[in-house]
Amino acid sequence: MGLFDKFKKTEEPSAATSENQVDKVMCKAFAKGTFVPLEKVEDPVFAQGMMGPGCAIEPSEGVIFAPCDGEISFVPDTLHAVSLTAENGAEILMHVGIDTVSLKGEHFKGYVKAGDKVKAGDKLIEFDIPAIKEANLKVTTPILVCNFDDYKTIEPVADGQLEVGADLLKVEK
Amino acid sequence: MQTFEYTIKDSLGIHVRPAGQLAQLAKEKKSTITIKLDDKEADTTKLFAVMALAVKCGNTITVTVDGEDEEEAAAEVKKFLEENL
Repeated sequence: MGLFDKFKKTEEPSAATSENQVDKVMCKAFAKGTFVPLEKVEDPVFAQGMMGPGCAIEPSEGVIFAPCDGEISFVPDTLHAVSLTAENGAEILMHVGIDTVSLKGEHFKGYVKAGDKVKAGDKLIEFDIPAIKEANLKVTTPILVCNFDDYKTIEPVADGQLEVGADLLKVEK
Repeated sequence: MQTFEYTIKDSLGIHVRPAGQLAQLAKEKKSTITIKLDDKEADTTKLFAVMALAVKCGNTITVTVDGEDEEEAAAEVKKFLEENL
C-alpha cells in the first residue's frame, strides 16, 4: 500500500458524508398494508415495469404518506397519484389503485401541490377505500422510480405486513 | 424532422398511465420525441416532464420527432395518441 492509497482511504468517507451529494435513498412504506411485488399488480402497464421498477402496497388504511424527503413534482387534478423528487434526484411516483383516474378525484383528498417540500411521513393523499372498492376498482398502490435509467439499484426490501415508515424500496445511484 | 399537431380528446387530458406508455414507446425509438404545449416543452421519455405540462382535454400539442427513424416513430406516436388520448 503506497502513500496514495492512504490518501484515498481518508478522502472517501468525507466525500460520502458530504451533505450536497445524496446517492442513496431508502423509500419507506408510504401506507399501512401488505407488500405486493410489482409483477403481481393487476395492470400490465405497472406489472411489466413500463412506468419504472418498484413495488406496491395493498393499503389497509386510506392515507398515503411521503416515502422520503423531497419536493412534490406533480399532483394530477384527479388526485389518484402523487409524485416527488427525492434528494438523490429519483422521480418517485405513487399511483393509488388501478384505473382510479376514472373516478375523476371522487373519494380522494389531496394535501400537497407541486413544489411543496415534504419530509418522509408527511401526509400526501387521503382516499376512501370502501368507496373505491364499491366502484369495483382496486386500491393496490405501486411506487415506482420513473427516471430509473439513472439508478444502479432499485430494489424492494420489504415483505408481508407493513407499518408506515418501514423500509420499503432501496434506490441507489 | 417530423412535426404534427394533435388535440387531446381524452376528458382527463394526458394522465399518468398513457404518459408512461408514451415514455416506453419513445425509449424504443432512436429519434427524440418532444411534446410542446404553448411555450413549454417536454421530452416524452421523461414521464415527470410530460406530466408537468399538465395537458388538458381540448389542448393542442405539437409533437416533434427528430432522428433516423423519425418517419416510423412519428406514425407510431400519432397512432398511440389517436387510440389513447
